[in-house]
Amino acid sequence: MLSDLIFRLRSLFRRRAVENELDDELQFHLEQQVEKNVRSGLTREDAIRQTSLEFGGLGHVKEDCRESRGITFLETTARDIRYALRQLSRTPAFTVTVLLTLALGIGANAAIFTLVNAVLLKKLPVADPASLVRLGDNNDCCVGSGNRQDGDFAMFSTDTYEQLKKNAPEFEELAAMQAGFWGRPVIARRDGTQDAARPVAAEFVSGNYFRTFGLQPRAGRLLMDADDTQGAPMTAVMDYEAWQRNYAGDASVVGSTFWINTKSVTVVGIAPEGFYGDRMSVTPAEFYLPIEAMPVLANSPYVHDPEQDWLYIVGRNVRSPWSRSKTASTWLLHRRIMDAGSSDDAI
Amino acid sequence: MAAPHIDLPQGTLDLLILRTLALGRQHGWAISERVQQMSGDVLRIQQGSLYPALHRLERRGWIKAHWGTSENNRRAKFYELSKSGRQQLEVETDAWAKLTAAVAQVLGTV
Repeated sequence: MLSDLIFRLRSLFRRRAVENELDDELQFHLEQQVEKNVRSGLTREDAIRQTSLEFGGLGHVKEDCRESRGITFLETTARDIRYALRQLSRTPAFTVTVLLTLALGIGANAAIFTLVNAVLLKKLPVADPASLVRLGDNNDCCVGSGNRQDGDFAMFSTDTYEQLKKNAPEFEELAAMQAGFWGRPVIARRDGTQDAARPVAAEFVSGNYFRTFGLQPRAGRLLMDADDTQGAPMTAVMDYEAWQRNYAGDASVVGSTFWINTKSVTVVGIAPEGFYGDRMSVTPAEFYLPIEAMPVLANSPYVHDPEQDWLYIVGRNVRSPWSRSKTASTWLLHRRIMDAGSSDDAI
Repeated sequence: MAAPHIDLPQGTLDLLILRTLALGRQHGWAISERVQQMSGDVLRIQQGSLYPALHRLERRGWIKAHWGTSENNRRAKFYELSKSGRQQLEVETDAWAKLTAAVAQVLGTV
């Protein structure tokens, strides 16, 4: 097959040489035949006539030879392509439109596929994603923007979270995470290096955050309940991509000290590869920090303010599938907690 | 006046070319002469169909072409059998023998 291709390509690209060879070859044949006819007694003139009669049309024979060499298909294809290009160059506006349409179409499809592949086709990097439930019915974010009066919920206060966690047996785990972390970067610098301090995204999460998602550390360990208590030594988990990007996967990052908002924090581990945060963002937080470290690290007054909703809540419910009745009971519980809160205010 | 020529049945030209070249390298004109001679002047190759056949066989790799010098000191294109061409000759000879035997048998029984 390869030799056939080389043979055909030679026929195509060394066309002049191949044509000349064909001419020479046929010419030689005709001369030999003329000589033979002369030897058999014909005059040279008659011999030539006789020869060309026997041989048939020269152009026809040559065409047959070209076809045998496999030139024809390649040649007509090349001719078609040349013709198409000529037509396109004659109508530049049409050509540009077609090219743009194709480029945008292909680009849009590639982009959509990338997204669908990441979000739908690939498995979530968490254990048993089907049993995870997020509480709330919208995506409001950021402390201070919530409205408790309209019946919609997205965010909860630390207090509400603690009470839900205690009183909702439907959930095996109930984790909380800062809703608007991307709007509140922290300033971080690795201890003992010349690196400049930079603002990075950091997400404050409950101590059971990684356990709720069923994640295993890439290196070191992940956050635990003990990290998320008042007065505990300050710890952080680094995002895998940030670890690769900023420290080239340096193993000594685990256990090292970082200065986060001028406070000393120990990085205890690296989150698993492929975990893009609870919101599967392309720009997830670089650090995961315990909620209880937030008043110290970020000087946030609202962490323990029962009036301030700032947390998203994700629960894991493995005992039985999530159902409407559970939604109702959790909702009722939430109502009770809130009613209790407002009656406290009334007193 | 003309010799009783028989036109070649379809597909036999390749076989005859391969067989002729099995005797040694030849240029196109000599091949057609040789076939005519060996068949006792009965078979005559249509000269117009000889060259397309040669080029087709060359493309399939059964024969190889080289430029050389003819008996009368002219530049000529010589063909010779390749290894795969030799195998192909055996295959086609075999098939031809079977075909003619079968046809003869049918003709004999009627």
